[in-house]
Amino acid sequence: METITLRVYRKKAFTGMAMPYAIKIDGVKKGTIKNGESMEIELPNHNCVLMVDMVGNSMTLHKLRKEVVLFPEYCSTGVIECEVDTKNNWLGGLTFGLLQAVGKTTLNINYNAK
Amino acid sequence: MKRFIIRILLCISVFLLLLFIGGFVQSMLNGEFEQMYGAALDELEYYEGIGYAFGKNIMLPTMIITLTIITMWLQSINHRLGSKKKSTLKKEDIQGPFILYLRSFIDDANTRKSTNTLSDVTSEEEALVEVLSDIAPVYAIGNPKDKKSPLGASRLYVSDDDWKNTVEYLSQRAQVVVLRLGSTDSFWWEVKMALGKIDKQKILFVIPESDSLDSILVLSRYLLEQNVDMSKMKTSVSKKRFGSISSFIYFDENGEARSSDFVAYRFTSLILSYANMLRSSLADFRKRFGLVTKAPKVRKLRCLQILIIAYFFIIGAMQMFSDSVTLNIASKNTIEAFRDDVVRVNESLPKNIAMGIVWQSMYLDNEYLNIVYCYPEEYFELFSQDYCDSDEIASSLIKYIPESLVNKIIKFNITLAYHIQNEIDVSQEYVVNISPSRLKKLREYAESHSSVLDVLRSQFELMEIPLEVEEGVTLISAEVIGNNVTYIYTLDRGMCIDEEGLLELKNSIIEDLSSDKNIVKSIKEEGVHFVYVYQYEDGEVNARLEILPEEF
Repeated sequence: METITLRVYRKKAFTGMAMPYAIKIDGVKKGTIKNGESMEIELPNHNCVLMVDMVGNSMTLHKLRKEVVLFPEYCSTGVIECEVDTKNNWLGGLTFGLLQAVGKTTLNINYNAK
Repeated sequence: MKRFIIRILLCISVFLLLLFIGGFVQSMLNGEFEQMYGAALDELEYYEGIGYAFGKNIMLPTMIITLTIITMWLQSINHRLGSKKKSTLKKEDIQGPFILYLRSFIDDANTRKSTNTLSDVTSEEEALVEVLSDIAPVYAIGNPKDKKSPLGASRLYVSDDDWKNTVEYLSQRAQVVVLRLGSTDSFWWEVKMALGKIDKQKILFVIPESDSLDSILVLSRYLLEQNVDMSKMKTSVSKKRFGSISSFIYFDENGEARSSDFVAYRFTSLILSYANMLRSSLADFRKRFGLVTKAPKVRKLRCLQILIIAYFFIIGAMQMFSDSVTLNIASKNTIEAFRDDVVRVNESLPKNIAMGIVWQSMYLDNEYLNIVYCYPEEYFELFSQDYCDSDEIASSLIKYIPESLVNKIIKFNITLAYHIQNEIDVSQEYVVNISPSRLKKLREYAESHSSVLDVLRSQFELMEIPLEVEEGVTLISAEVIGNNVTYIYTLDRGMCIDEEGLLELKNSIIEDLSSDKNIVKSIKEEGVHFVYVYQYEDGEVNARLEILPEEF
């Protein structure tokens, strides 16, 4: 398989709903996704790092950011699906992100998406 | 049940925290005292204001910080109590890349503890799993004694007969095998299996803090069997500031062992999480997977943390200073603004108040309004300190001061000076220091005790009778019966009060009592009937004076 498609879907969530996530592959920005949106990216056929980084993170002490290594050799369908979820951290929210991040970004990877 | 109690406490703590934060934000928005109180600042008692400023600027931030720490601590306990249901995951269910986390089951008790940082409520295992999940999801063999799956790595529960096969199977498929150094035989079997059957580059040893080097020595022996010499490596087992992890051992592309210390940066815990400290310590290992780890700017973070903490106190202290200055200025301005009022009131006040008390003067001295009354020598006992201190006498004097002025006084003194032959003996003065709030209460008291009969009754109780009021004239009885107020005086033989003298006396008494509208009003309302009887020692009446309420 020469190329692999990465399908990134951002699950609708209250936390960070106003801010888009920047999608980066090996540190190179590929685009942004808003709440409920998805995008597709062509991946190189070797291990790479996917990073989702909330726009405006530079302004905060605790970032809403997550990175994960993608291993294309595990993909047999040619499509890797990544669901981006932002879970609420109410204590972080109450302290305006001063003590903790207002939420937590999680990435669920499915290597054999259809 | 335990979690329920923690949640209740957490709710209370969060509610209080929000309340205090709301109060802080409100006080910041309202700004200075001048903006908050406006014209009413003049009515604010100085010490009341200083107390309020201290509460707002010092106590409030202190309470916010304290409650935040309590809330975080409760949240941490609540989080750790929130375990998941026991997992039913099987090894066949694991698809895609993953990391296998192996450890002695007895170490779970240590790794479930919070990492003791302010910004982290997660357990040590959760933090480690969060860092490792940057590479792939983390799985571990669950302790069969677990009632619920602990937070952290996803658990696979296998039978005692099958666990070795499962570990071997998963180790070969895993991207990384993490081995937290333990002491049980099962763990050392896992180490031996990992070193013998899987690629060393996939192995990451987590070295926990320890009082002895026993585990390290056993590990070095196993590694030596694999031709890996640990003797030149500096591997730390010392206790770190946070968590129980002391260092890591991993292998580079050439199969050579490398160690990296866990660096717990001091005074950065408010900003730098435990997971980020682990990321930083594992930077070289992560680099192998293409993960770039930026070294934390420790100095910057430390300064930021100091600034965050100091913010409340610096801002609070500055506000406190500013508020006290505002209060001082307001106090002085008030005095200056009402200096003319004081002079005007001083001129308009009745000179002869009652019972021989003479209005002397009213003057401003710095921030104090001083009011001086004088009384004759023979009343010295009457105005003893205990008596002067009572609300009754204070309120009876205060009622002569107009309310408009009283409300604007910040500090207030009443001096009762000892009056001897037209000279004021200030050494005998008694100063009543009255705050505006007490003044208001006294006025209310005075208003509720404005009955002439009550006032006279209380005065008579305190008088020491017989009392010589002037040469040859002694007051032997003074009493209130019903609406009648009766004074009985004895005269020396040879003294006589004629009709002209009686009329003069009557006019003088009416004039004295009429100086206060409240007294006249009370006399008329209550129908007070004054009777003055002048008699000789043998009981022969020389003169009798009656004053009816209508005559006022």
